[in-house]
Formats: sequence, C-alpha cells, structure tokens
Amino acid sequence: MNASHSTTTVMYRQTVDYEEEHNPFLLHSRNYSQQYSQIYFCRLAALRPVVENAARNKWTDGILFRDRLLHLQQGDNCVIIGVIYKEMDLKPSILKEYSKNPAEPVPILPVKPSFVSDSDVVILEDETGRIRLNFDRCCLGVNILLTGTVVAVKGQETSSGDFSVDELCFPGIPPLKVPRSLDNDIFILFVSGIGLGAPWNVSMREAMFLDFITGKLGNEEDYHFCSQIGHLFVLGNLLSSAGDETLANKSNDQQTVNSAQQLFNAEPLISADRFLTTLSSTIPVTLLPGEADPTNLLLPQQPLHHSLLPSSSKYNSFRRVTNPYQCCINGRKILVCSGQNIDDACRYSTWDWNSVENRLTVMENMLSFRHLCPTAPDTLPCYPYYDEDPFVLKECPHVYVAGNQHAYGTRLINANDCGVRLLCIPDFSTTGQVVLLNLRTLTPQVMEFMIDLN
Amino acid sequence: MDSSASPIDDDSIIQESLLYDSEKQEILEPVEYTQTRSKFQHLFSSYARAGSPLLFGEDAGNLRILQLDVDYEIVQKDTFLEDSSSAAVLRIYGVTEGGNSVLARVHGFRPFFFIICPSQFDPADLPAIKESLEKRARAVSSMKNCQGPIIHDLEIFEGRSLLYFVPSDPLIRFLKITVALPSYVRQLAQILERGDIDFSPYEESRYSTFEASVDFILRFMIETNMYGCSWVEMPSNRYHLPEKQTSHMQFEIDIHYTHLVCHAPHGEWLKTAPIRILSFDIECAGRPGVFPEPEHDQVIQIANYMTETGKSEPIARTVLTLGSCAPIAGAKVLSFDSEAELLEAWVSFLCATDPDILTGYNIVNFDLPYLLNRASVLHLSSFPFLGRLMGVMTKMHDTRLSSSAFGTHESKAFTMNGRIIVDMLQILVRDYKLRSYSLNSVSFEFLGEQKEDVHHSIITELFHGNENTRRRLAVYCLKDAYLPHRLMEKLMSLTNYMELARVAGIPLAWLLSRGHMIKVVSLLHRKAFPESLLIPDLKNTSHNSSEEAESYEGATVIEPKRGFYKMPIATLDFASLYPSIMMAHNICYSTLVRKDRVKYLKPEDYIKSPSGDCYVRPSVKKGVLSKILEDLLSARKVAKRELEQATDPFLRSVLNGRQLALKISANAVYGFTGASRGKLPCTEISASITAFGRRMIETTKSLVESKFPSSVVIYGDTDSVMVKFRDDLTLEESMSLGQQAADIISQSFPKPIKLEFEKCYYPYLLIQKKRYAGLLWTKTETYDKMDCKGIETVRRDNCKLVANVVSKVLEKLLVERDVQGAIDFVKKTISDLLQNKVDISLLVISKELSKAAADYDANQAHVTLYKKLYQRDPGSAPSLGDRIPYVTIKGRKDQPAHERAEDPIYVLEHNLPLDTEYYLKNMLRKPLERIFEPIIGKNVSSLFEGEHTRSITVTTPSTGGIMRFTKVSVTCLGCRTPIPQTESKEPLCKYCKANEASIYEKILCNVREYERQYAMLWTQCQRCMGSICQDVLCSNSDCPIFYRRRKVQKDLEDTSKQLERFEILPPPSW
Repeated sequence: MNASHSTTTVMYRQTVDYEEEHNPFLLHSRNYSQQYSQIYFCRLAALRPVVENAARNKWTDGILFRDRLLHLQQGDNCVIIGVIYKEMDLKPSILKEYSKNPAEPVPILPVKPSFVSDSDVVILEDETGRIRLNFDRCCLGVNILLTGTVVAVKGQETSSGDFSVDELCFPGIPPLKVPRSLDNDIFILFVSGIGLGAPWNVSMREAMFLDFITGKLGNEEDYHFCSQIGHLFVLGNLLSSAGDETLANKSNDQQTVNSAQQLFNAEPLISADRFLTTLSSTIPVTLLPGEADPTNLLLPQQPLHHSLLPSSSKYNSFRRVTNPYQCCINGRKILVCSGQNIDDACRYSTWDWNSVENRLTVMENMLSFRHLCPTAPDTLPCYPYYDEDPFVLKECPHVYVAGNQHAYGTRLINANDCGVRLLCIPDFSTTGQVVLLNLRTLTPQVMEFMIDLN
Repeated sequence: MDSSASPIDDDSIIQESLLYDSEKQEILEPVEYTQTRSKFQHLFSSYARAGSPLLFGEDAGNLRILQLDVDYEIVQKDTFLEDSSSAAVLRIYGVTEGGNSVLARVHGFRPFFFIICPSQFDPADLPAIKESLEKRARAVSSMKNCQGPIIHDLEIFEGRSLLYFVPSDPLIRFLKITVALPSYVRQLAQILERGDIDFSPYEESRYSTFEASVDFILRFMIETNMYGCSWVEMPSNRYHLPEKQTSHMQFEIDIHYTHLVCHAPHGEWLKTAPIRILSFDIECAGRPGVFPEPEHDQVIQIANYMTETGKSEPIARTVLTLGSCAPIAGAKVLSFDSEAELLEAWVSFLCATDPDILTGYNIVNFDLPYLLNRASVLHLSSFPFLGRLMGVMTKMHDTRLSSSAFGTHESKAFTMNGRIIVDMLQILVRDYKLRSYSLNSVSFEFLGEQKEDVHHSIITELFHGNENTRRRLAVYCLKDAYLPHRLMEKLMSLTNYMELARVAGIPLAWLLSRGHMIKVVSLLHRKAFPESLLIPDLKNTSHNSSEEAESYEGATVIEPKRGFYKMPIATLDFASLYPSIMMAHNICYSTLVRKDRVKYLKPEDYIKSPSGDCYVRPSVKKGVLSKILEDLLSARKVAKRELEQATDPFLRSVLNGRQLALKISANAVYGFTGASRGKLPCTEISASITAFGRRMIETTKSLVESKFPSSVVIYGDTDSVMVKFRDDLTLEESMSLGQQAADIISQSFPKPIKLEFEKCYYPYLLIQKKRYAGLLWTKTETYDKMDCKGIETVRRDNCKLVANVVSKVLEKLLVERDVQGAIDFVKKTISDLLQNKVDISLLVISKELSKAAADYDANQAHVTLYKKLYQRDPGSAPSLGDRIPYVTIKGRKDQPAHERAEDPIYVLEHNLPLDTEYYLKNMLRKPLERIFEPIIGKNVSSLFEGEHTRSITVTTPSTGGIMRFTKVSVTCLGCRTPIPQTESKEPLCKYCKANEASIYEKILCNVREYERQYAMLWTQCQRCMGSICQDVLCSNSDCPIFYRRRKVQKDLEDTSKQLERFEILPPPSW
C-alpha cells in the first residue's frame, strides 16, 4: 500500500437520492395485552386474495375453490387456502424445559440448528380450522415450507381426515416497477456484523475499513472508486454478540448488581459511537440493529436509542432505523434486514444451512411467499401486531439484502421482466468482507480487508 | 422396601347395594323403545361390528368367545329346561376372535351350600329331610311361588372345614343342599342357622352353614372352571338360537351349563379378542358462576372416541352437538336441533357401535349421572337404556367402597348389563399417588402434554356463539374424549386389569367395583373345593368382634440411626416377605391348630409361631394358602421367563401385566387373613406372620452384625435392613459383602424364605423412620435413580416451590455430593423468595371447593377466598367442584392466614405484596430442617437466618389500602425522585440525565428479557391449543405457564412504558 502522491486533486463523494417513505416497522406505542393470533389472522386476510388469484391463474381447469376449511368435504378435489403450520418436536419448547427443571424461572432455550425430524407434521390452518397435509403424492419437498406462509393447496381430503396434496401455489413475487436508468456508476456499500467489543476482534481490520471509506487507503484509482460510494448500510450486530451474553446475564443475575453500579460495559458502545461518528462525517450511514445490539428483541427491532450513540446521533448523515427496513435510493427499492429471519427459516429444512446458495433460495422463497419473516412469531420473536402484519410484502424490492450471513452470496432473479438482486452480506468480524453494489447495473462485488501480519 | 408388603393390606367392604340384584330389575316392554331408537340408527350404521360368523351347519365349528362379563337373571319358567322350573339364567357377554359380540345364556346351573350333618345321621332319612326343607321353604312368602322344586337336590358330602386342623384329620359328613334360585341360599341358610326347622328325629337346634355366602356368579365360575376374561367354547351342536333376541348384541345363544368348555388362561388362550372401547366426554352449558346442574343446564355436546383392541386407527371419532357446528377434519360432526334428539342419538350411537367397555374421565361421577339426570328432567323415557339388554333401564345408585388400601370412596354405580365401566379417574386414584388428578396434570404427568383447559363459564359463551365457536368447543370436547383413551393405552390399564381378572378368576368389573378381598375369596374357593375343604360362613359378629380392638403388633422397625451416610449402604430385602413366611411355616386356616387341641399332636408335627399359635407341618397336611401362593409365585416365575423371551410388544404387555397381577394377588392373601371385617378373618394367622417377620428382621440384624465385624445395621423396616459394613468400602466391595451376607443369612431361614441383596444406597440420607433418600445403585457403573421415601415432593397441599427446592437440594446432596452447594441453593432460594423473585406459579396452592361455602366449619383459605371472589363478581367466581388456586399475601398485623388468601391473577394485576415470610416459615422451613438436620445438626437454623434474609423486596400495591391517599406523580426512572410538572415529559431528572445511556440500557435489559419470555410463553400456548389463528383461552392453572404468561404481559407493558418515555424526545432532524 503506497499512499504517497504528488498532486492534490479534490474529490467529491457522489450523492445519492435517498427517499424514505413511511416506515411501517416503527412502533409508536406498544401494547402487550393482545395475543399472537391476530397477526396470523391479518396475514391470512392480506394474502388470501393474492394467493387465490395466483392459484386461479395457475390451475385453469375449473377446479373447485373452497373458501374456508370448514366447507371442505371428504373426497372432493379442490383448492384450499390457509396458513402453514409445521408441528416439529425439535422446536425449542418452554414446556419441555419446565418439565425437566421446574424451578427455573424462564429458562433460556437451547436452539437446535434444525427443527426437522421424522415426526414432523405439516398443517394448514385458516380462521375456521386446521387440517393435516399429506405429501405422499406431491413431489415438492416440504423442506421449503415455513410455518406462517400463506399458500393455496390443491388436492383432496382423505378418509383418514388428512388432505392429500397434489400441488401447492404461493402468492408469488409481488409486482415491481422497472427503475429509471442511471447514467453513472454509483455504489452503495453493505457491511454487517462488525462486532465491536468482541475479544477476538481485530481492530486493525475496522481501521482499514474506516481508512478505505474515508479515502485514505490505496491509490488515486482507489480514491476515485471510493468517491463513487454514495451510501453505507450497517446491517446489525455492530456490537459483538459476546456483549449480548453479558446483557442477558445481567437481567438474570440482578441480585448481585445494585442499581448504583454501572450496569454494562460501556466500552463497546463508546467505540461504536466513535466509529459511527468517523463514518458519518464522510458518508451517509444507515444503521440497522441486529440480534446482538442494544435495542428490543422482538422484530421489528427499533432504532438504537440516541443516548447510546450520543456523538454520532448528532450527524444528519447518520440514520438509525429499524430492522427490517426499506428505502428507495436513486429509484431502486432496497429492502434490508439483519438476517434473523433467514437464520430461523433455515431451521425448517434439512438443507445444509451453511450453504449460501440455500440461503439465497430461502430469500427468494420469501419474496414468493410475499412475507419477510413467516416464522415469526412461532419461532422468531416478533411484536404482537393487532390490526396489520407489516411484514407482508406489498411490492417487490429491487434489492433484497440480508446481513450477518456466513458467507457472501448473490443471485439475480427475474421477476415480472425485471431483475431483483438478492444479497447475502457476510459477517465482517469473521470474514472481513463488505459488499458493494453498483446501483446502475445492480452488479455486486465483494471486497475483503485482510491484514497479513507477516 | 416393598410397599405392597405393608401390614394389613386392606379390609374392604362392599355395600350390599352393589351386589347383583338382578331379581329386582324391571323388564319393560321393548316395543316402543326399539321404535324410537331406529330414528337415528342409520347415522351410525357404518360403525357396526364385523359381519356374521357361521353359526350353524357342518362347517360352523365351535363358537369361542372371550368372556368379558357375567351376570344373571331370574326366569320364572325356564323353558330351556325340561321341567320349565324357575331358574337363574346366567348371561356371558363375550366377543369372538372375529370381533362379533355374543350373548351366551347359560341354563341349568343351580346354587348350593352346605351344612354339617346331624350327628348319627342315617342316609335313608335324606328324602324325609329334603321334604321338610321343601315344606319349610314353601312357607316363606318369597319362595312360595317357585316353579318346580325349591330344593333340587340333597346329598351327603364328605369333607372338612377349612378352618382349624383337627388332630388325626378326620373326614366329616356335610349335607349339600342345591336350591332353585340364588336368593334362596341365604334365606335357607338363615333358617338353618337359627334352627328354625324341625328335622326329627334329629335334635340339633342350629346348623352351621358352609359356603352359603359365596356369590352365585363366582360359584358358577368356580364350578365350570371359568376364569375372568377367559375363553369359553361352545360346541356347535350344543347351543340353540333363541326365538327372539333379548339384547342388542349381535348374536344370542342358549346353552346348558354342562356343555360349556372353559379354557384356563394359558398358552394359546392368553390371546385376546377385538374389544370395543368407547371413551366419551360431555359438555354442558352452565350458568354464570354455577357449576352445571342437570336440573337447569343443557348437555350441549358429546364427543366419542371408539377403538378396538388390535387396531391402530379408531373406529369412530364423532361429536354430537346441539346446534350447528362447523366440520372438523378427521371427525364426524352430527348436529341436532334439540337436546332431546342429541341424547337420543347418543343412545342410538351406543347401541349401534355396541362397545364392551365405556371409559372417560370421571364419567362415573359426572358424565353418566349428568346424562341420566338430564334425561329424567327432560322426561326422555327412551334414554336410560345404555346397557346391552333390551328393555332394561339403566339405573344409578350410590355405592361406597371402603378399603384401607384404596381409602373410602363414594361413587355411583349403574346397571348397564354387559358394558363394563372403566373410569380412568378411578383407576388413577386407585393405582397412582399423584399431586393432582385433574385431567390436565395427569396428561402432563403420563403423556407429557398439556391440555387446553376451557373454563365452564367460557363453554357457555362458545356455545352461544356461532358454528365456529361451537366447533372450537367440539374440538376441545373430542380431545377430552381422546385423552382417557391415550391414558388407558399408555398405562396399559385394560391389559393389566384383564390379566388380574384371569389370575384371580373373577369378572373384570369386580376388580373395579370391589376391593382386594374378592380376589382372595375366589382363589381360596378354587383351591379349597377340590380338596373337599369347605369354607365356613363366619358371622362378622361372632368370631372376631372382641378381638377387633386388640390389634396385634405390626411389623418391626429397627430404630433408625439418623445421619447422612457418605459410604455405600447395602440393603438386604426379603423377597415377598409375607408370602414366603406363609409358605415356609405352612401357615393356613387348614393347618392352624386350636390351642386346646395342640396337646393331641406330636411335637415334631407342628410349628409354633413366635406369637404362640401352632400350625401343623406340611408333612401332616399342606396348607391351602401355601398352595395358592406357590401356584401364584411359580406362575409369576413362568410369566417373567416368558416375558424375557417374548418379542411381540402386545404379548409383552400382557405378560408383564400378568406377572404384576400375580404379585399383587400373592400379597393380597396376607391382607385377607388380617382383614377384621372381611370374609374370613383370622387374627392368629396374621399375628403369626408379622411375628415371624419381626423375628426375622431381628435375626438378620444380629447375624449381620456378628458375622461381619464392624458392620452396623442402621435401619430396618418390615422386609428390609440397611447395613453399613465399614466406613471405607468402595461400592463394589459393599455390593459383594451385601451379596455374601444375603447368601449366608438366607441359609438360616427355612425355604422359600430368601434374603436378597439387590441394591446399595450411596450416599444415603436417613432422616427418620420411613423418611429417607438415597441414590440407588444396582450395578457399579451408574446409579439407577434417586429414591426418596416420605419426603415432601408430591404432597399437594404444599406449593410447588417446596417440592422443587426439596428435589433440587436432594439432587445436590446425593448426586452432586455438594453439601455447600445445597446450602447455597437453599440460601439463594430463600433470598429470591424474600426479594419477590420467585415465580408466582410456584407459590400457588389450590384446593377444591368440594361443598357449599356455608358447609365448611373451619375457616379455610380457599373458602374465605371464594366468598371474596363471589363478592367481587358472582359471574366469574368459581363454583362448587372447582379447584381454587390461591397465594397468601401480606395483610394487617395478626390477620389470620386464611383471610390473606388471594387469587393469583388478582395479585398479579394489582401488584399485591406476597407474604414471603409466611411461605418461608410455614412452608419451606420444616421440610428443609428435616433434611439438613442429619447433615449440619443444630446449626440448621443458620439456613433461615443471616445475610441472605436481610434484603427484602415488597411490591407496592396499585390499588386499595394506603394507595387511595397517594397522588401519582411522574418520577425519574433513574432515581425515582419526582420530576417537576414543567419537565414532566422528561424520563430522567436533571441529575440522572448524565447517566441516560446506562439507565436506558438497564431498562432495556428488562424489556428484552420480558420480550423473550412473552414470545416463548404465548407461542407455546398456541402450539398446545392446536391453533395459531385463534386466541388462547386456556384456564389450566396447573400448567407452569398459566401465571407466567399473564405476568409477563403485565411486566412487559410496564417496562415498555418506561422505555417509551425515553422516546418522547423529537427524533433527529434528518
């Protein structure tokens, strides 16, 4: 790396046109007296017409549509619509924990990498009842099905009271507009899982990343390239999850901590604030919280509180947003999340969940299910919405990005004659990788920061 | 130690009302009744039993049925018999291997009994005596209308009395009197006992009767060698079809009893037939605040789950509903417009499906009485025909079963000929000791699933909703019908009871309706009669009344040397102690020698028990009881051997049930002899047995201590002793010494008494007699389990906290061997308790409101609370029969505890402070002191005093009391100082502002924790309920989640409000 240069040229960072519409994931007042049933009810209400429409286009042979499960008659060949529920013994169950150890207040549940076992049962439910689905005749694997997805199912009720499935139909990828074309290359940068405060964290790598963004790294070509990066997304787990453990321990073990004591190790937050301040002074930054960050646990996670990041929060260029989050940059709709939804969905299949291709498939399926996190609230904690399910996708993004994945991966899918870019952003603290996306072409590229100590 | 070997196992008495009183059954004309039934019959035709077998003709073959129940009726003129005389017709209800139901009407069997012959009797006088008996009997009004002779036969029978051995063992002459009808036996016996008859020239004033009190059905079964649930074969050329069916069973045949071929349950005949089992549940629409009463409240749904043994899929899953009900996948829903139709349809269902066994949960004391009472309120004359006989009304009467083994239970009994009622609640109460017998907690215990519990006030709401809410209810009702079936399967209740019926030789139904006694009666008769030993009819008053009070000495307990033993303690057990004593010393009614006759015996011919009674040696005469026990125990050995070899899971369950049944029966024999109000009590026998047992325990103690120097017997009880060989032995060494000791000492006892070494306790905590805990090892690699006796883990008048702490402490002491850890755990629990960190569900105690509040004499917590709840809202207050959960809260000084009982939900909602000190002092302290005293001695009070008890947290109530006088003002979330009105939007005061981040994060920590709990608890309830689109309604307060999920809602809401206060600031201006 050679930073010596003779001439001084002033470079200006390209600016992007950033629009944030009304954010449906921002909670204004919270109420917990309701239960989780309503969110499924709303989901079904929102997606039933969509999936029915899709099914009528798919199965044009005049097959009977039963409007509710209760009107199902044994033997008739028909289509039914409902929410999938997968009964899986390996799901973490608080009741099982209680029976093992009744004295425990509310145990932290061990989560298995996969919930799949031989005894799994797939059920379809609507407001009027539920029925067991039997996939003996359907070649489609049950692997892709997630609890909480709304589907149309073609088949018939058997004498044993199951519904024998011939075919399935999903709502399908929602419509999207072809974006206006851009004249110049302009990039946005995604990074996730910086993991400040982790003991194994290599701070040199963060420093390099900062140097790169602020244009202190490389040669003129690099500077020029860097000036084309118009926006930075930090997709969750800014703090290390090791910090999260102390956070959890604190609430469990409160009797040893009296209120006068400092409750948390402020160090990672202070360095995070410094880090974000440096970034925000040179590039517009959007920060999503992740699982390990100090905000609420239920999806949608709310923006980090300004008091936690007092210095960076003063910058206009710094946005603290929800997880998930959606905005529009230069006419491209960008949907970002910190990845918990993908992790949880992967537990419903037997696929190798380290494979990034499988994760991209899960992301693609979610678009086709028109839902961002179908497994919430069953195995993914979410807020008990009452009169809407904000995770239902009304329109398709041009770019769909999930943070904190094991490895970098991308896929371009074609939806309604328009490309949709899927991106898995790897965890920075373990891979040192960030991802750049050319907004003009929707072409991504990965950059890796490595320090060779030799 | 084997609990089944406890002294005086039971004495059980059945109220007479339970005995078969078929003579009184009203016979109605079946005409009208069959007409109404057919109205709904078509609905259920698909559930009918298999097609007909070939009954007649060359290829018909013999008809074989598995006998499930036997009863009888009195026929004024039995035309099957040549003389058309009055007779009892026995009815065998059975199932063929192909699944057809068959009623076999068995004719010609007549009851008999015996009297001792008058002295110097001349056989030539038999006809004269028969005539005078006949004449005397005709004079009794109840016998005078008998068709044909009353006395059918009079013969001389040579035998002996079962009771007492008479030196030189002479045969005695008896008169065997065979009479027309069962009820005549007792009447004639009474006449003879009173001497109210003249047999001149014989001048005996009274005649002792023998075997007059034997139940007619048992008499029949013994005579034909028929066992309970056994196979009965009827040769094809011997039976006849009746002209007219009298029952709803598929086939009916008539046969003479001498043509029955009864197969003993061995080998091939261990098989079973496809038995139909119907599990059902009803729902009623109660009025607010009142438990449903048949006088007012409708039956709205009846769910049925019918299975057939040997089939994996149920035959029927149906629910009958009042009012429309949306369809349920996998079940058949039938809706009716009126309750009367609903009830009638259910009778049709019963008739069409023809179940052999009815089961459910609490059907005997709730569902069935409710249905019958409801039908009578509705004047539904066609309803109460639930049995298998046409035109026989189902009647209900109260029974009372007292038994020291089962306790006293009042319940209902029903005339439901041919259908056996197996109420799973009764089975569980009999066979398992549990903290709670609610269907919820039982399902959780045995099936590992929680069941949704819909409170009866919600049931009415659901019923008055629409077809979907009724469907919801129906699903719930179906589940309640399904669970008893699952329990029956899981616990193998039916298989085990059937095997018990086979071993004991009595009908299946008797096992449920009667105590242990009847089993021994049957065994005794079956063994004694072939040896011509007759069982005397003892009057409860004559033989034993004076001795009843002077109870004999029970089993020995060697005074425990209390302590916490960290070395292995070997346990030496006498296998089947009392049965083996009876066999070893030939103890029996028939070998007992009356004290005044001992002098006629040679000394080598008898054994004297430590209690002073004498029994002849087996060489002189072998006791009947010994023979019974030998048979039972050798049969058990065979069953166990077969069990080892068997691979088929069904056969395995049968064999296992069989070996258990044999063991239970063997142990019941001893109890029978000691039962002071039983059929044949004999204090000499039971006193001898316990005396032998005591001596053996003492002998064992002194033998061990003399043969193994430095060993100490630290405790002994009934049939086992605990030995500490040396302080420094390994487990392996202790085990081998234990084995040696068992072998050596066994030799000093007569066969088959055997001292066995089976297990070591290591470590072992001996608290006091009958209270101990230890890790049980039978092999050196790993321990088998933690074994606790008499320690507070299951008692239900404790809160769960006690059970949890006790079991955790024992685990720390015994498994982890960490005394300090156990002490720390106790201290932490106490500290948590005092700081209000213990989950409220662990502090809840619940008691049933078993009678009206006014009927309680003493002030009981749950009754006082009930009155309070009723004042608050009569509509939602619990009602009779409900369990009322409560916690104890702080109150005024010296306010009695019962007044401080409060509804846990109310406590949560109003932040009422719990009286944690009360829990500490009255609940936790005693059990923990008991455990720790042997370990840390006098120091034990340090557990309850000191640093960890200083920090006390009391919640501030949100209503009532002093709160009425306070003004709510906004306080700083950091230091709780009030915030001036002008800045009331601020979350923090100006001094705390600097620490905003840390205060924020502290609150955030709580929010995150509550969010995690909220999500876990409420999703769990959705899974358990079996629906994600509908709200959870479950009110199962036994479930560990119930209070937690309510509490977390409140906690999360409160903390979220705090968090929101931070967010009121305007967002940054980007």
